[in-house]
Order: sequence, then structure tokens, then C-alpha cells
Amino acid sequence: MAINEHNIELINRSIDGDLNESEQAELDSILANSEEAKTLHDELAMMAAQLENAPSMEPPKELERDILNQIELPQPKGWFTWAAGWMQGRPVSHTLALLAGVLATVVYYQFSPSTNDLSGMTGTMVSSENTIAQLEIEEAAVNGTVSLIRQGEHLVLQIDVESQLETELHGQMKDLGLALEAVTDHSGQSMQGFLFARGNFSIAASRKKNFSMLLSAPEGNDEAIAQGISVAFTQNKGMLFRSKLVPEAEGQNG
Amino acid sequence: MSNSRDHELIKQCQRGDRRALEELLGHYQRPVYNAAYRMLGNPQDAADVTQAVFLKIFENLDRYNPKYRFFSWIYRIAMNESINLYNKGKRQQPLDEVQPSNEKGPEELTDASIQSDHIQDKLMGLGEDYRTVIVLRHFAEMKYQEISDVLHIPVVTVKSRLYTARQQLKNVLSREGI
Repeated sequence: MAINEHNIELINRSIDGDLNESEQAELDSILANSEEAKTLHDELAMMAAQLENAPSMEPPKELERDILNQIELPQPKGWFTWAAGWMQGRPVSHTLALLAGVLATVVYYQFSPSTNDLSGMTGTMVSSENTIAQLEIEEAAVNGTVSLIRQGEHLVLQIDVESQLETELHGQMKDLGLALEAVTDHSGQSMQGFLFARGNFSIAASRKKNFSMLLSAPEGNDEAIAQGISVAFTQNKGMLFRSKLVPEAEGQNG
Repeated sequence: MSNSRDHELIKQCQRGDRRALEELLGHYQRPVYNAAYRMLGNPQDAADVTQAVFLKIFENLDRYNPKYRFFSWIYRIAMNESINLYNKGKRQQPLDEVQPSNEKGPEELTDASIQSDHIQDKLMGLGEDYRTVIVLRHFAEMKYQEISDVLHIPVVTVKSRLYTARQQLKNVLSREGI
């Protein structure tokens, strides 16, 4: 049987795994009846195997570093710049809904629990009457609330979040004039894997995060402080969710 | 990596997330380097092209249209950069200049590497259009439609070039008993 264009196409497509059942059956018949077609098929198949089995080349070790050193990504917009722009000309009563994030960069040092007596906070949630901002998280991987509450001379950042898998929590609140005075786990147990440094905090991987941070903060600047706090949830260094807090004052009057 | 993951990482890069950049680079650096090497036959040129590709990608992040696959975009740039560099080399090289040797030392020579070098030499004898479809099909393991998306040519043209390229390569390899 002479080989024709259609046969050649079938042979080539079979090399590429592109034939359906009936086309494969047709090709099998052609190969069984044509020595020329069979030879072509076998030669092309062997050549394709040689090409695909050729060793993969390893890039030079320094190539990745060289590329990374030359790439500058767009700078994330500063939140104070954003906050100033947002607040300009806007009534405070407007509802604010915003999901934007800047991944917190965390510098670690071991946090030692303060000597402040927080026994009153253990096992209880702070009253939400004076909630400045509250972030409701309803993601498949992470859900719960993060609240900022005024309590006298202090602000309390209250975290009550659950996740299906163990996730790390990272928070940013730098340059806000806040000082961490104490942190307490609502279950009454000691905080494990909590780190705080230069306005950034983190919690080691876990499924439940149910704790509060007591922050000294002068009154009168709560909304701006809320604008400057962000949280991010990660798992094995992959980002699951991140956001800034949402000022509750906007939602109540919206 | 899935298209949606690529898009997510691009968005993160657009927000300045360097970890997303590292992940994209980690995933695509090696395949882009390999494709460039097979187009150019020279490791240094392949490294230069790889670097140029990623610089171009990240300089133009704001122009990336998520309607199209990132995969297609990066390979299109890689093929264009490879062809540009190859043609530039052809124009600048005096006819009697000796090519830098890619010879391996004794410890690097294996049957597989010797045969690979022979195949690469014959690959370099194909025209650019034919070498491109061979590289994308057999080294980047793309399907016809993916090659069509990368090269902006119809699938029927992809097949036609591929079949012709294979025939040419087969003939050359057969003549040399490889």
C-alpha cells in the first residue's frame, strides 16, 4: 500500500498521542498492510523518543540569583498614603469595605509574657461594646473574626479564628505608636509560639487562634490605628488570606 | 502549575510580593532555559535569553492580560528572544570565525550526552520555524493548541511544520546512522 498524506498525518499524530480510538484502529490497519508506513512510523517514533529522552539541561546555579537581583517589583502602596487618600473628603459614616494587603514582614525575637495581671481576661472575650474595627473572615481555609476594641487606656486586638489545617498568623501594626503589654490565650493556656518584634507579630501554625493582645495606645486616634493594622494567614509559606481591619464605625452608620 | 495559580502569583507580584516572584521563577526558569538552549545550542546564550525573558516579563507585569495564559506568554517571549539572539549572532559572525567550543571534559561524556549533542547539532541545522515547533513539541512537551497559542499560528500550520521538521531531522539522523 502506498503511503499518502493522510497516512503521514495519522502517523505523526500518533507520535503525539492525538488519535482517537477509531483513528488508532485505522492506523493499526495501515501499519499492518504497508511496510513503508510501518518503517516511517517506527523511525519517527524512535526519533521522538531520542528527542524526549535527551537530558534536561541544568541552568547555571547563579542564574536565579542574577535574575532576582535585577527584578524590582512594584512597591506595595503604603497604607498611610492609602488611608490619607481614603479619608480625604469622605464622611466618617460611610461604609468601608476593603480587601487589600501588604504581607507583613516579621522580624522575630522571643516574647516574654509581661508581668501585667491579665487573670481577668483569661477565658473571656472582651466586651464588643467599644469595638473600633472588626474583620469578619469567611474563607474556605480560614474563618473567624479579628477585632480591635478600646478598653480604657488600652486597645485590645482580639483574634478568634479557626482553620481546617494548621495555619500561621502574621500581623502588622508598626509605626502606630502601640506598645504590647500582654497577650493571653482565651483557653487559659500559655501562649505557644507567639513572637512580637518592631510592631509585627506572629503565631506558630495551629488550627485555632483564640487570644487577645493588650496594647497601650493613647486615645483619640483609634480609626487611624485600625487602618494601620493588617493580618495575614499562611500555610507552609503560601498565602491563604490577608486583609486590613474594617472600621466598625463605617458599617454601623452605612 | 495551573493557570489560576499563575494568575494569582502574577497578582501578588503586581502587589510587590517577592515570594510570588520566586515561586514563578522557580517553576519556569528551568523549562525556559531548556527551550532556549535547544533553540540556540549554547548554554551561555540560553542563560542570557532566560534572564532577558524574566526581566521582560516583570517589567511588563502591568500589561499582562489574564485573559491569556501566562504559560503561553512566557514561552512566546522565550522563542522570540531566542530567535532574535540567534539571528543577531548570525549577522555579526565573520564567516571564518571559530565557534566557541562546547566540548565536555572526559568525565562529562556519556553515551546519552554524546547522542544528545549529535541531536542538538542536527537540530541547529533546521530552519528557525521548524526548530521552534520541534522544541515546543518535544522538549517543552506542548500540545498542538498550546504551540498554536505561543506562536500565534493556526493548529494546521503547527502540524504541517512539525511533520516537515520531523522528516528533515529524521533524514539527517538516518544518514548519520544515529
